[in-house]
Amino acid sequence: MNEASLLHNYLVVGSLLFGIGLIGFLVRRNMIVMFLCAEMMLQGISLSAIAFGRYHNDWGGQMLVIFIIAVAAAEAGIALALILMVFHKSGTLDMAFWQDLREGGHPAFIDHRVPEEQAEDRVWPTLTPAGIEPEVNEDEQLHRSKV
Amino acid sequence: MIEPLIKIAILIGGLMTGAAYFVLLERRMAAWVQDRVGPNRVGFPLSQFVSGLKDLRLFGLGQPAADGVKFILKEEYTPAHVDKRLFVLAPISILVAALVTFAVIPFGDVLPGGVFGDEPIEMVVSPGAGVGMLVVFALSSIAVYGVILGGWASNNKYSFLGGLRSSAQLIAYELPLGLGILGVILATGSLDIGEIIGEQARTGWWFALTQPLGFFVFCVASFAEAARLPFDLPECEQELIGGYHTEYSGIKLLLFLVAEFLHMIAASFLIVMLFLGGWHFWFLTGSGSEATWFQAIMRLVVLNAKIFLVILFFMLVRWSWPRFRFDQLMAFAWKVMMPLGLINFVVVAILDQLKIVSGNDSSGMNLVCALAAWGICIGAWVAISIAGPLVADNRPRRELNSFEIDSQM
Amino acid sequence: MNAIEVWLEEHALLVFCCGLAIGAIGIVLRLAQAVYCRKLGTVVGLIGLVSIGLRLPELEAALPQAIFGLMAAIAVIASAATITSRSPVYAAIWFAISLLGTAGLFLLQGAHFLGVATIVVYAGAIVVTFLFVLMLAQPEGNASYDRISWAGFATPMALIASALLVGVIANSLPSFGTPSSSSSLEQLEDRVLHEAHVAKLGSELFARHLISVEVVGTILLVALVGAIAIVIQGKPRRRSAEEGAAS
Repeated sequence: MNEASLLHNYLVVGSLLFGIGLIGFLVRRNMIVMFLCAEMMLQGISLSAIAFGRYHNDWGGQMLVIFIIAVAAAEAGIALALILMVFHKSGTLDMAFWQDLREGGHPAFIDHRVPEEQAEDRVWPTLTPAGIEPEVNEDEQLHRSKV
Repeated sequence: MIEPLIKIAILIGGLMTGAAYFVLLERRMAAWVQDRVGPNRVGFPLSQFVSGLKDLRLFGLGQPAADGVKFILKEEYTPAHVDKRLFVLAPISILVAALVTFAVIPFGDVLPGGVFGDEPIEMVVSPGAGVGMLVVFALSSIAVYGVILGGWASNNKYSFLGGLRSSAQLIAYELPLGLGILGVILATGSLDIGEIIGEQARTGWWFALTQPLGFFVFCVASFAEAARLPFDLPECEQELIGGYHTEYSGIKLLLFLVAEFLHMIAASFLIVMLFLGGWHFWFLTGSGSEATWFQAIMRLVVLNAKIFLVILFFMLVRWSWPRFRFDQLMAFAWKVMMPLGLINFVVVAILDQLKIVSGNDSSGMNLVCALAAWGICIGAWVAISIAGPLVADNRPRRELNSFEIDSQM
Repeated sequence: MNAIEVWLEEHALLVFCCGLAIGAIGIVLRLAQAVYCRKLGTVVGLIGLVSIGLRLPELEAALPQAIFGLMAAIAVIASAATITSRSPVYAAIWFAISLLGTAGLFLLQGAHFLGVATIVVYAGAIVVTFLFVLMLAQPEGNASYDRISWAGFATPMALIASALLVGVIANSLPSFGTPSSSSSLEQLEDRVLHEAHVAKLGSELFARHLISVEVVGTILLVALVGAIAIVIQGKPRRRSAEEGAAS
């Protein structure tokens, strides 16, 4: 297992991570998952950088990865802040909601075929919205003892 | 291959049994603080085996076994509306993180060669791990997952809020934890825990003496990381019922509680090794890297005695002080602990550079630097006592200043 | 017998993995209700254990390759599960697992500090922040945009693009040549694989890349201020009207 084939193994894994992240970024519509796939692409690049650093006996690979991690952290902070604000404005995390800046004359993207929820798509754990009063039965309220 | 396996077996067996018996110790300590007698009746149930004999009351030493059997045999149900995969994953991940922390923490020094092998056996599962301290940080970051997932998967508004609060506390106090350690790492020049102890043994000055501010910050942060009082908010019953482990019962709840105790034990291990000298005691154990058999045994005894005393301190604190409110807790982390940690790091860096520049590494120089560090620590204490309530005060104010109304950017 | 022994020695890894699989089946059988299943499980488990133990000495040589394969498999499979999970929370958890695999690969390459720093920063802080935002912004029920994707040719285009990328890199083995600077083991251990790895990393970082470090620190500060500035909204305007009426 000489050095070149070792490097090749790591490069293949790094490119696989990058490719899978690329597919995920272009295919998913949830903003947060898209951002997660962007982070995955950065991981693939980090792996390739470290592999090259070891192959050429250079510290540059690891330096680059340190800066990638730091900048990715900063980017994640700002991106999540933006996503939160966008969520407050639109009420959804769907990327297809924001189409106003598309090219002139281009038709809007509309979901033609939304598959209905199947039995296996359960209701995820959620917070019940605050401020909603529970339904009360008037007769029962009358006869309840005051606690 | 065999040697790490034996060490792992000793470690896991010792830790799990120790965690169980430390629960008994905590109940006895609580009883002592509250002027009563703790559990002292459960011993060995002889009457179950041979009819006619009375049970042995071994000062309550059978209590942990009884508790363990109760947890295992209890009816364990999974509520209907939980997210089943994450529900099971949460306690597993937190216990795994708590146990793997002990892979880099030494539980003694070196056993000299000759009896068990030809070379000296280091009493740590992974000797020479150059980034040992950082692995501890990584695992405490993974423990946060168990808390978040436990709260989320329970599908319960109070559990969810408890999980969010708990994880926010854990993440907030990771920062002072790191800042407290930075001074120690700077003075040692390595992240390896064995080398840190070796440095304290070499100069004879424990880091609690030369970096008191870092010691204080690290102690407070490790109390918060272990979620012990006075940072107990996520799990006290008066606040959020059970917090993130409300919906758990049986073995899963046992895993959560054992993980919490293991976090406490790991925190006390780290306090002893990083600040209180580890296995070093001034005239009993040698300070070199070579040790005779007597010194090796003394080092083991001294280390475990110190850890036991720190654990007793943890338990005493739990039953002595009231707990922080959540916003006070977070303000304390960000506005008090972090500046103190930064001040400590700057002071340690300056004093270390002074030592290098003057070329003087003698005991007198160490004494001067320690006195300077203590002086700055007292000064910082006074400053924080004055300025702390001003910045960490979260009481709702009645007067409205103009900048509050026009604070849209 | 000699032919069997030679075959067993050559395929030590295969025998080991079969032994693991047989042992796992044995454990599963032991958990069954019927008594005959449990007895069968004991026998099967013992066979698996013997198969594992038989070839253990030969595996010492194949261990680095096996660990690389394990870590790479974790990273790739978890990342594939990330992009195909329907629930965003599961996607974040799978991404954290993929990060563990990548951190293992970093450790294998001798980058100890970066392997552990990836877990501390990425898996411990960034993904946790993602989980916070996800749990607070999750719609009730199952969102339609998690189940369907863009219509048209987004998916095939993405697949073709990444297949091209991976294919080009996978076929690039013959063209590496010798590394530019000599990388014999002694020289590796002197620079990148040094024993005091963190100390060398630190000295390189703060000596040659000091300005970059300062710039990155400033970037983090700006990101912190920017994130707060984006999210903060101030008190609502109507209080000024009440204040004006009251005072």
